[in-house]
Amino acid sequence: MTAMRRARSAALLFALLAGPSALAQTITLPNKDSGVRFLVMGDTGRGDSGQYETARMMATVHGMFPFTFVVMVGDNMYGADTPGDYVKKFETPYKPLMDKGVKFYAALGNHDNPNQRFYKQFNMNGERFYTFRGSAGGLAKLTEGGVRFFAIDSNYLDKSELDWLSKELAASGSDWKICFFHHPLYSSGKTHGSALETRAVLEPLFLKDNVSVVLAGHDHFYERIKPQKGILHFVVGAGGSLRRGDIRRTDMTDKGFDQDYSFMIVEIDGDDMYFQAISRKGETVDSGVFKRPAAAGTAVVASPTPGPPPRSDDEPSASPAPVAAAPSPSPSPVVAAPSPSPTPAPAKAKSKTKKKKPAKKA
Amino acid sequence: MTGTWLLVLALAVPPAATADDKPTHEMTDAEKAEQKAAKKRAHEAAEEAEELAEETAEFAEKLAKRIEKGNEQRRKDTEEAIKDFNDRVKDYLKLHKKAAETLPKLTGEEDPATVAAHRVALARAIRTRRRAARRGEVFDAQVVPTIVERVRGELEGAEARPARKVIREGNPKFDPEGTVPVLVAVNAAYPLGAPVSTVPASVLLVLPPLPANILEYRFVGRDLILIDTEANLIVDYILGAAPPLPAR
Repeated sequence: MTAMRRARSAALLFALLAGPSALAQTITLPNKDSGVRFLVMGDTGRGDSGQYETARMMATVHGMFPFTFVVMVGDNMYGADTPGDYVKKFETPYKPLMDKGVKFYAALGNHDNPNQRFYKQFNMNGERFYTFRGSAGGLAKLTEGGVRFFAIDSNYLDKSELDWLSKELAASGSDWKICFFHHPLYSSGKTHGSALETRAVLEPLFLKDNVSVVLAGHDHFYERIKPQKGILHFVVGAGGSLRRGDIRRTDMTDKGFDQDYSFMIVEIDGDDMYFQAISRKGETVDSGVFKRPAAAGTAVVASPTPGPPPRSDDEPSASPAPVAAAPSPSPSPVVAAPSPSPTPAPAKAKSKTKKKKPAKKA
Repeated sequence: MTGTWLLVLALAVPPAATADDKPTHEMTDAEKAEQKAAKKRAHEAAEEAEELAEETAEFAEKLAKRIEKGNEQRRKDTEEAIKDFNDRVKDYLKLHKKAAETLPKLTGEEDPATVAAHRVALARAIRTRRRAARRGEVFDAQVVPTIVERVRGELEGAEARPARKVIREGNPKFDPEGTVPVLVAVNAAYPLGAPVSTVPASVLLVLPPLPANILEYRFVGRDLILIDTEANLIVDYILGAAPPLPAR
């Protein structure tokens, strides 16, 4: 018994000394310089320990996976947004990333004062809605194709915004069109759930102009929805807020995690979008690759790493323990590789383990 | 010979009476008169019915014209009310711009402290220019029924449940993150710590459009407010514009 206690104490001491980086050694993404690498976070602006600890894990991950920008899906500043709040709820926690030149692109949430659009670090240029092109290594692509992001203000979808969105989506020749905003069109959240009214307005526009991916927050957990009408939806609303056990059992969840704070890293390489959701403690809670529907013929999500046994994370409210995907069983996991590296082995391993699932229509 | 007798007999004996046979008799003069009178009454009734139908059609036509005229008048009134509302919004916009001209212009390079100071200074400058402003100055009595009708048209009934849910999102009186008291009054500052309600697209699409990035419609509870987002100032409001909202 004493020996067991000693072993447990030693393990705990090791974990404390090693810090969170020891828990996040496995990046399942290809990590290519040619890829568009970014991080997605939502509902962050609390200024409390949950946000700060998650932000530290983001910085740790950046050391291994040098993403060039961050997409913020709203609720960037809860409560007051005095100058001091900008420091406490944004600048301090993300200083390590900003020091590395990481740019932030924000969408407005229902807790955000619309005047945040003037905050330089959010790169909104005074607009509630805007678009920008994601580029590999921070260099702008000169040709068509590539990845274009559309930041939408889902709190106030007036005619001017809808006209703008329709026009911009139609005019974009990008291969990947990614929309991000606060209210999820699909969510299994008990507190909020799917924003049906917003879905009725936005989804037809997305379908008409081939939007591939939608990133949202609002519900304070991570959820990957089964592709809906060919579009892959993520809820990434636990970057600084958490509602434990808030995911309801629905058949639209492909993967859900509501036991700890989390964020998601993404890499787009050609027609593939690799994603990995990571918890505050550095556990990989989900990972996979999504083939661009126009290239694949249909929406396909494959899991590059065999997930944990029977989907206990789909019923998180019943599960007392945090659920995390098992570390990649791949024999050659990608370990912190900030320097340019040749095509990593896991990318090949992924193609071997790809399990094509039929696209689920809504 | 026998055959001839039989034929004579047959002609002489009348056929046996059947149940259908009615006694035949000559109509009396009284009966004839009654029959004539009945025919006349029927004719008159038909004529009356025809007249009534004509009158009804005429009345319906007149009523339709009156309704159409009423609708036309209401449309004109609504258009006029909305036109006047738009004019008042333009007037406010001019006032806003004049107030903003007294301040250094934001370039987009400022830090949050400068932006916040600008917001406070702009609100002060607008308040000074609208010192006498009262409720109904922008949402006047003529336009309120139209706006309330349009808001409720999108928010009432079973089909509007998702839209009613949207209004609760970020609404300072319903937000699950905690409610925040908001003083709904002309020239009152919208509290910095208060969430901002989401406004359903279906509602925004039927309301008169507002100048982008300066004025917005929002809800505080069921009240519709007109907010100057740059100055963080409540410009005007309509109490109880939304129908009762569900608890959850």
